[in-house]
Amino acid sequence: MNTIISHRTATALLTLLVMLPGSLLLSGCGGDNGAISIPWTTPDTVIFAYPYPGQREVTPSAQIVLRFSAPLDESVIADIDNKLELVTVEEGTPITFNHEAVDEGHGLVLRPVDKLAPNTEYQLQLSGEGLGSVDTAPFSDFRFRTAGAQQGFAGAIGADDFKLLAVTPLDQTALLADIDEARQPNDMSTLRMVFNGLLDPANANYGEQIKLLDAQGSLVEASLLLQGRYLVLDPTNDLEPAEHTLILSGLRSREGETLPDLERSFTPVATTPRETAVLKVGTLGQQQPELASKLTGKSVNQVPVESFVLGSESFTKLEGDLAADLAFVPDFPGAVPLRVPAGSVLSGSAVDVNILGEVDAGIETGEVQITLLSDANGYLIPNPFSDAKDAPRYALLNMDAAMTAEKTIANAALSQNLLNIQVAGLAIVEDGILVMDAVSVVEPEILGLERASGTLSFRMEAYADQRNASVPATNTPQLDLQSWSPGEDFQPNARPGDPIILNFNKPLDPASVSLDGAIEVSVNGTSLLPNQVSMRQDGATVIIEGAGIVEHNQDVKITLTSLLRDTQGNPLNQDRTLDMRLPDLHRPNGDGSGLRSPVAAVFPGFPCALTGAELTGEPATWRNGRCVGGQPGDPKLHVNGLYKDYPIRVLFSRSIDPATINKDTFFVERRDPEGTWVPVPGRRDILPQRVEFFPDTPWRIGDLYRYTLRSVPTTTPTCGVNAICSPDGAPLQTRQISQSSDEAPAPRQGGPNMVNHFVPVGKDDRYTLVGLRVLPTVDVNANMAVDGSEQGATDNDNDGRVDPGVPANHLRLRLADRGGVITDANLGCSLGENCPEKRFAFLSSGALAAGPRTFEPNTEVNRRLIDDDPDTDNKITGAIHANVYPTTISTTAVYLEAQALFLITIGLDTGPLILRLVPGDDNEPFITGFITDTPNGPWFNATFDILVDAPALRPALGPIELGHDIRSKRVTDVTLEGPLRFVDDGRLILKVSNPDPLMIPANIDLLGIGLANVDLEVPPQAADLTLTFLPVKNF
Amino acid sequence: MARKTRRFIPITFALFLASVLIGTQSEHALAGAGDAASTYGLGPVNAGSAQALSAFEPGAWAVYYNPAAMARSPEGELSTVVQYGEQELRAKSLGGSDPVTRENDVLSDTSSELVLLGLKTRIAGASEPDSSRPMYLGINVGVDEYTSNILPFQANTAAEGQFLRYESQPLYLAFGGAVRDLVRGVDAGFSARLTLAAKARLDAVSDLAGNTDSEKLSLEGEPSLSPALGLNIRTSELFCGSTTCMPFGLDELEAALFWRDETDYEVGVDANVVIPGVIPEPGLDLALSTVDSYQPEVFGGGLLLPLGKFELVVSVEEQKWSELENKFAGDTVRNQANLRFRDVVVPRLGARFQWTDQLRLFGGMAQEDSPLKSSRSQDVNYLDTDKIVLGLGGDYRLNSAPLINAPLVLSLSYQYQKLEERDFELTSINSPSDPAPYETVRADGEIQVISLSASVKF
Repeated sequence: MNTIISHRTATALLTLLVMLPGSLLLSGCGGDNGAISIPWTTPDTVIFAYPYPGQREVTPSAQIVLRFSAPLDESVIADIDNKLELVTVEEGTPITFNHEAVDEGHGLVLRPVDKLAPNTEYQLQLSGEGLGSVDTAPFSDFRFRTAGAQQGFAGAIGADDFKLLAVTPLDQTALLADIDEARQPNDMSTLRMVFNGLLDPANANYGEQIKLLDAQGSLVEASLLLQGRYLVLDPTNDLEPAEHTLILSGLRSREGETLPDLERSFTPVATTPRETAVLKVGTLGQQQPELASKLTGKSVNQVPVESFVLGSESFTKLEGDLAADLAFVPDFPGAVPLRVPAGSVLSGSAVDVNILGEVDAGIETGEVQITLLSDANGYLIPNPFSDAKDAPRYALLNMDAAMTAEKTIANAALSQNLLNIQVAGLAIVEDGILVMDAVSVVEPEILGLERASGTLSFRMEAYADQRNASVPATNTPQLDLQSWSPGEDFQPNARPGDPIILNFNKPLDPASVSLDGAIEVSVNGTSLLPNQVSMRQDGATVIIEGAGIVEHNQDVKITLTSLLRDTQGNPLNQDRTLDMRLPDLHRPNGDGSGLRSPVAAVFPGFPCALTGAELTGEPATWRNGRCVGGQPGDPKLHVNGLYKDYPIRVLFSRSIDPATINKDTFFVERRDPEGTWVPVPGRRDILPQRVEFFPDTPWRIGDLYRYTLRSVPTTTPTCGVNAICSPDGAPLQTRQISQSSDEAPAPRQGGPNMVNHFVPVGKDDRYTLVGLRVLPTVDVNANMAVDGSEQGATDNDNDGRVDPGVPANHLRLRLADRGGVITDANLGCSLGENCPEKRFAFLSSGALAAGPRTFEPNTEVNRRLIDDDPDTDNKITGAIHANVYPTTISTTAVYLEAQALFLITIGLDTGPLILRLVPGDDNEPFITGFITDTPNGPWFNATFDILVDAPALRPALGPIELGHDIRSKRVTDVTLEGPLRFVDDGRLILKVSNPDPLMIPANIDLLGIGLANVDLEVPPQAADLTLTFLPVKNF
Repeated sequence: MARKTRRFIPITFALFLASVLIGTQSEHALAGAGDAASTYGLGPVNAGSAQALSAFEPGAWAVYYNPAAMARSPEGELSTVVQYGEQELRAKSLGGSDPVTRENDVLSDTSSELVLLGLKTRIAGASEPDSSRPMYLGINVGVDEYTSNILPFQANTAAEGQFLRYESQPLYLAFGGAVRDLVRGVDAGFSARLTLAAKARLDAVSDLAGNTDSEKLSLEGEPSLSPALGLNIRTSELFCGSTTCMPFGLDELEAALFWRDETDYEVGVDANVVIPGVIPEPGLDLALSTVDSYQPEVFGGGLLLPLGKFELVVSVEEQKWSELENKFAGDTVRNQANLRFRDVVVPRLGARFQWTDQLRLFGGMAQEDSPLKSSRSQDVNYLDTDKIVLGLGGDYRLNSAPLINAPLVLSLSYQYQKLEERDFELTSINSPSDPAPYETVRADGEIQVISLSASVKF
């Protein structure tokens, strides 16, 4: 019984036990734990900006590239002009820009309509109520500073006394300065110095003015790169993690200012052990040629080369592998240092070189290569704008590269160093692949004429299997000298002051260039000491300063040895010796005193002392005046428009004494609103036969300026005070014409001050200024006579025929007709003699300024000389219009013997002929030339009038002096045409001739009564005008 | 041996176990009532008395609380416990700059499911002629979540806040022995609790997609034993021998002293990854070291006074929580929180009533102050409050249970914990307001525990 009860009790208890937890559970259901969500959405933020806040040395042609963590609303994008503004910090001037949304509103590219001003601080700020949902904090103080110019106006280069602005990485930008790991150099660092003035390359040598000493005080082996305001010191080996000292002592600016000595000490941080990441520039796997950059929306790795002279269609597509050294990541949580070693190469596709993007320039670039000249340094840092876990890292890289082209001519024309290229981008691992999208802007110089702008939209991907990644290519061909300037063929086209340019097939190790014995120069058999030769490396070229070397009457030998090395350390394939001798300059008295006064060619303006300027009323009616010595009816020359980026340029027919060019003899003034002329301060870049004036502050568009080249109308100037003179004391000859032979300027006579007016113009009137010199010329000594060793045309066989190869720049003349008292005449020699070799006038001096301006698709041009037959037409529609500015070209004299009335034999020396090239229509400000396409390269045509003067022609009948009318004698509708060709050293040479005969009818009179006439003719194709462009590079 | 084992698992018990398992399926993989032994009590008597009777309970679970108590009864037992806890831990938002979105106040309503097996047996002096001192051996095994997860381990940061205690507990293993009359009237016991310090090490070469090669993986669990000591004093025997000499009728007064060392489960993960192209040798080290299931060092004592059918127990214990500060300082999950703890003294009061020969009822209560001094802990956001624990239960002894023909004690108890209100400020590195708090919450809660056991006596 007991047991039964127990069992019942037990069963009941068991039931309870089983039921209880369940019921308890049910009772506990009242408070289910509720869903919990974290509402902290990371605010939409900027995740990328180029330029980034605080960035310095921003390329002025940079666009502003922004990327956001979420797409912007379309309404925000549409109204962006009212939401964002870019202003200058100093004056708050707003900058007009176009905008474009990229990657479906994730990004925004702002393109300033005009290039940003150099050396100026800008601020990007909100002008409205924010940017939709995007956190606007970054715009509270978003400033960046553009780089100072590398040439040109002083104010654009830098301000204040010559000083060092920053040494990276000792002085990091704001973005990096707050990060411990980035604040000091590491063992991979290259020191990149930025100055506020242009460095004088002749006074910047490693081991002398620039030193990097290790802890023991020994000089660290390093390469030095120099360009404009940039100086890069790349230690050859990794730095030891011990104290180093950078010493700058005695560095000078091109202005001659000396940098105060300075020392900076630092201890590099060890980054070992390092790892090498091989990145493919491009995309892994399937080719995606259409892939657009997330940042810019442009094709990835395509570098557009946008310039006025090339148009905006040219580009090169880069590819290749880069091996980046990464510091030991765990040791650098805040900023991982990285390096891409010097010598790394990227290849680019060939660039189309079309003038104004339309006319094939006739050169092929072949493959373009970008070679790192120094170790590129950078950092990977956490995204500075966003704390979001998915925000990509920022990648920053500074690099110095050389751009070279495969083909000889293009390499000579385009090869250059591009220093301090700043790359900023985003890096993130996507699907296991490290992907970098980056932006950079480079400004390569095009043909020595202008700077192009290229926005690089980099895309790089790291190979997934780094242990089997492809090995980055090296620039494999042997180092070879490709061409040099002036070269063997074009020494007559060079003049004192021109540099010697050596063009190699690949970039050089800059350190090897400065090694003793790598490049030696000897003059007349005597080797110059290293300190007597200034050299600088620029891309695949070495530029040797010409002063003292590129001179007449001396033998120069340049020896290149295998000490020269490329960036991978491969030596020059063979020793080379280059011989150079400019055409001899004949000095009639054995010294300079027998030479004629130098003549200037100028731009803007006209190369003579002018009179009768008209500068009132509407600017379009302003006139610069007419030449002193001319006739009252001479056309009044227009006031030239000078495109705002260009200097005043003066070229001389022979070397002048640089010391005579100063503020007193070459000065510029601006007319202020009250009509007062105020001085314009500026810099004069002086070469033996060229001077350029850069104002300290940019030209003011629309204002009237004038400049004065001083001279005195005597033969006894006070050189450097009242006249610019030659080294032998002859003043600048500013008046070449006269109304009587008595007033014709004596050979060493100067003239009135040469005053030219001009008005700076802006983008709407833009042209690319090219300077062309009448070279080569027979009249080397520029005395307007073929004398001494100067050799004109020859008739070696005495067969009455001129030897082929008449020197360039001539007019072959023919006596077309005679009349009046002249019963017989012979040109070149005595009556009855046959002297065809003497019937040439040689162009003796002169220069031309021209400016390709615009392509006109409807212009028709007839190129009659393409097949050397003036009677056949070759018409083409579509031509570039180029401004050809009126100028003067002089010639040597021609001899004419005439017989009057069958009795009196008269010898007539024409004396120098002064040819003024002017537009056919006096209302036109300039001559319009046309550049058109041919299968072999561009073709140039121009039609204009020539005013011919023979100031010294003095016809006489025995003792009776006669008059003549070769004064402002207008030869109308002169057409010249011919090919425009690149030569091996990268320079362009224009060679034009006449398809039609040119008639110069001369009338001889006695006291105004016509006595006779002699009609000279330049038969078709008998004129040769050969113009050589200024060197592609200057020292 | 196998046959013998089968005999020990009665069908009734198996049924019972199965029913419970089906009836209370775990809701969450990480459900739990952490540190069950100290938070709730192991088994019906300890849970139902709010651990007041623990120092004197002679069953298998004495191994944990006071090993000396095993010597208080010569009876051996094999005890199986199923313990179910239902908790509602709340955090009521009092607002803040960027409060977390909460559907309601309930932060955790997870349940705990604990299965325990305890054995206590006399190993010496069992037979009458044996004159040696009686000695006892006890073994405890316990797993959480009905054995589905024998080593739960959590160390989290929590933006919404999390309770310091009441989380899952890892495998519980303890054994101990006791000897009666080590000195006349004084029993002594010693036990050890097994904890693990797990160390994992991974060396690998990986690409950025996580494809590894050259892997080396090692995992070691280093056991450590954490001791506990107990003394049980029958005052009358100690002071009076076989006579009675205690005043005020306190001859039956027993005293217990116990000490348990702190325990915790440590996990250390050391990984080293070399990523070619990014991180070379010696690679990227990832080192995590953290602790869970911390139980403080406890020193306590209690007095038991039988009064007729009643037994009254008073106990007090000091829990040395302040040591946890040091532990957390070296804990990579919580080191940023700068947590501060205080030692707490927990008084307990319990009673037992022998209703009939077979039925006993018991109850108890305890007042526990929160050891957590900090009201702000960066990222971790620990919540803990003072609480009152009330318990009630009973056991029923079947002197000869069906089928097994041996005495079987079935026990049931219920425990209720009331967590009092306390305010905390929540902070997170991910919050917009960091380092300022983004929310203030008022923590409180309720916990109900049902504990069931079946113990075969021998």
